[in-house]
Amino acid sequence: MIGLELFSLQWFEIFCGGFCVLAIFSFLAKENPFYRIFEHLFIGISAAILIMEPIRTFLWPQALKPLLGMDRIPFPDGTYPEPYAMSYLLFLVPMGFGLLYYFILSPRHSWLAQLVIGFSLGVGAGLSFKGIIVEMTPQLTDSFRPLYVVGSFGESLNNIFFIFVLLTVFSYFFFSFKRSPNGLMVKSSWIGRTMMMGCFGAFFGATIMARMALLVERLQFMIAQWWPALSQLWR
Amino acid sequence: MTRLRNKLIAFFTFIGGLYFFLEYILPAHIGGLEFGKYHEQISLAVQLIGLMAIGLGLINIFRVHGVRILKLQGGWFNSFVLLLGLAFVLVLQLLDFRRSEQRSDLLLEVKNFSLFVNRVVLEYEQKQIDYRPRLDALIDRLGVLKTQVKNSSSLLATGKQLDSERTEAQFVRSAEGAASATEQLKGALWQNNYRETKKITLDQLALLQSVTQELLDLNYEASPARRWGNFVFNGFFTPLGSAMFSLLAFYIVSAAYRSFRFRSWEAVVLMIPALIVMLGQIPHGPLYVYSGLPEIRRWLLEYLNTPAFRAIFFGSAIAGLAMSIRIWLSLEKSPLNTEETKQ
Amino acid sequence: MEHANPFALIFILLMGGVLFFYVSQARRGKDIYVRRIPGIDAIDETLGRSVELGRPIAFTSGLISIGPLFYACLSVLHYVAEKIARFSSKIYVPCFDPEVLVLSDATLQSAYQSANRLSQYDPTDVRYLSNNQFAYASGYMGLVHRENVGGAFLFGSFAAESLILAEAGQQVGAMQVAATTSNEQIPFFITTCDHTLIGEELYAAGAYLSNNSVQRGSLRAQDIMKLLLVALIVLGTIQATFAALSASEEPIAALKWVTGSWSAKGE
Repeated sequence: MIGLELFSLQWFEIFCGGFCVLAIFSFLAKENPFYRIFEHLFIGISAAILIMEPIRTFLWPQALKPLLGMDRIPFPDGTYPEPYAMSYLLFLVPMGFGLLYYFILSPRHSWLAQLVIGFSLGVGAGLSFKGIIVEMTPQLTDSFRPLYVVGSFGESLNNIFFIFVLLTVFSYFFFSFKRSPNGLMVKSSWIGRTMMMGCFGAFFGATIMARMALLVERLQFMIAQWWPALSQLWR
Repeated sequence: MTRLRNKLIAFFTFIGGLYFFLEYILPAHIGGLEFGKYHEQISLAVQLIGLMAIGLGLINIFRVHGVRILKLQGGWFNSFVLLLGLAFVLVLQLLDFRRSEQRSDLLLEVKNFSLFVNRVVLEYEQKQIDYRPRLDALIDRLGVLKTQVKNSSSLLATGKQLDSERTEAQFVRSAEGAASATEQLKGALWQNNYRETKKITLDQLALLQSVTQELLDLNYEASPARRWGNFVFNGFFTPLGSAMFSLLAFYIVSAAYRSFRFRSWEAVVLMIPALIVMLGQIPHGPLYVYSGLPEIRRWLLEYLNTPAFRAIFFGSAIAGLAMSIRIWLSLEKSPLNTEETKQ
Repeated sequence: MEHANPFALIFILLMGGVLFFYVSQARRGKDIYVRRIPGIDAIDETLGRSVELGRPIAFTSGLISIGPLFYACLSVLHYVAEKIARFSSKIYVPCFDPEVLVLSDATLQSAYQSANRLSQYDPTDVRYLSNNQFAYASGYMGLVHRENVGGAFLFGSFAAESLILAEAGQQVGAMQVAATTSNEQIPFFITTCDHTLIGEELYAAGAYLSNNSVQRGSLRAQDIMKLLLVALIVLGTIQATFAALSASEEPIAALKWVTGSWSAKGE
């Protein structure tokens, strides 16, 4: 690569990056010690990055820093732009409550962790009401399609097929109604399952090219960046 | 005792969901009262609760891998590599974090100089508080910052790079300009004719602020923690993630080979639309097979995929809603609770 | 900030009312029929096979976070773990999120306690891998291969890494059952796993396995609500068709009802 100095930090980035790719790809042959080392390295590095990230971007700036008053920088004369807001002390309540999670490590007191677990589940449930309805409503209204579109026979057929697929797939997901062996529900359910298989096949086909693009990008890196960087060692 | 505990857990579960349920169900204003007035603070508090569990991930990692190393069990070397990577990146992150915080504190301090000048003038006007020692403190501080640029361990020192030398010189000039303007403001306040001088002082401080930002950014990017952090990110984290992602290309071919072999009618129904969509996406499909393939592909994705996925979604949505009600009101016998599951 | 319109409120209250009705019926002993779901039967088959071969089980919830879906997965985890405990076999539960780790750990403890095998419970069976999608997938792949799992359950929420997780099990010859509401990943599970539960079947799995009256009553309530939704769609379609035939520019009644707000101001 033009301009890449041997043994510079950028050179090492590319050099190590290539070995990472080789290690992961070696798994395709067989699980091996080379892959294992990089797998563990990956987990260690990502665990560190993803443990620090919410602390840096959320816990510290939004809670701990204002709580400790460290977001207040004094003026040159020692006074402060604004007084310390005592309301920040309220952060101690959720933080203290959240620390109950650690009682899961104690066999005798693990029920205390259940309090915060229950609370979190309750929050998840409470939030999901809005999440589900907000996501459902536009899809529901979009399903009100006219079965006959004036002036467009093709569009009419499309809409009829759309509603047909929607209702037959829907019929597959009824669990508590008894079905007679050759009844309408059984047939409708069978058609629904067939439609789903067709749908899954179509979606499968649609994602293949996107996956190939990812491989092409990695191969480009190996050929256009890593190999030239590596070959600098013996040139 | 267990029943009391269960009731307490159910109570906390109910409280957890109550606010968000009411916040959605109730209108924005109820008789002049805004129910969601503290929504941001409550959401923050809820996020804080969840964030407290982060240490458990670390504890679990040490429990699994630390014990393996201490007892020299099988795979101990890999666990050592994991913990070494974890420790190294944690230290880098902490150093980088400390640097980043110092930088933002210094930037905020410089930004506050304008606020300080405004406050000094206002308090002199309203309460006759003596401005001289306060503005002298500002001038002294500007002098200290100017000196720090030359100090190699300072946040403001970047080493001998062309851009940084130019920016350092700019900073020194801005700091001198701001100090001089502040000195003039002192004189103008004494003469009670300071509006214009105050504006000049504020302009100088604004210029100082922008130069400080530039200098601190240069310094931060050049700092060892940042550079090593970038190395780990670009040399390991990103390539490993991208390589894992690209494995999908191999696996999707393997999955397709396994499935698309006409073993059952379901496989046939799966395969035919897959082939049509695949061929419809590439130039060779319409060129060598059938020119209408892209149109058929579009039709399949719009009129087969969409309603099927939608019907699946509706079913899941209703089930999710039912589950939410059951969890929230603790109708559900909890899988986490032994006493309940025995019933 | 969005708030519920009349349709949303009525829908939620109706869901609650119907749920309470059928749950109380089920609790009073009324038998509620639940049809056979083949993929769910495969859970026992997978467990039996793994125990016979003396190989451990892997249970993953993917990239899931705390919520109703995860709770449904915990029901299945409890069932699986209790069986594993009774047969003195082994289960690994790799986790993506620390909160998920806590709940999975609590569920596993509870399952072992239910089977009176708490002494066999090993806290390191539940492992935090990473919050990063592909680091998680990498760790899962390695775990499945090194431990040579005989059965894998992929119950939860997945993204692009779903195929990697499923292929890992496929490569070691594990019997796999997947269940997810992530529609985009279902095709990959269908082509790679032995059985796949689609969408709502994941929620139904809990009722089916536990034979729990609340869950069975809830299944019936869900079916009733689905029926109402179907009726609404049919009504909306009919209205839309008539509107198209009469060339009316007015929004149809069903649309107005679903999207209507409390006041003329749209609050």
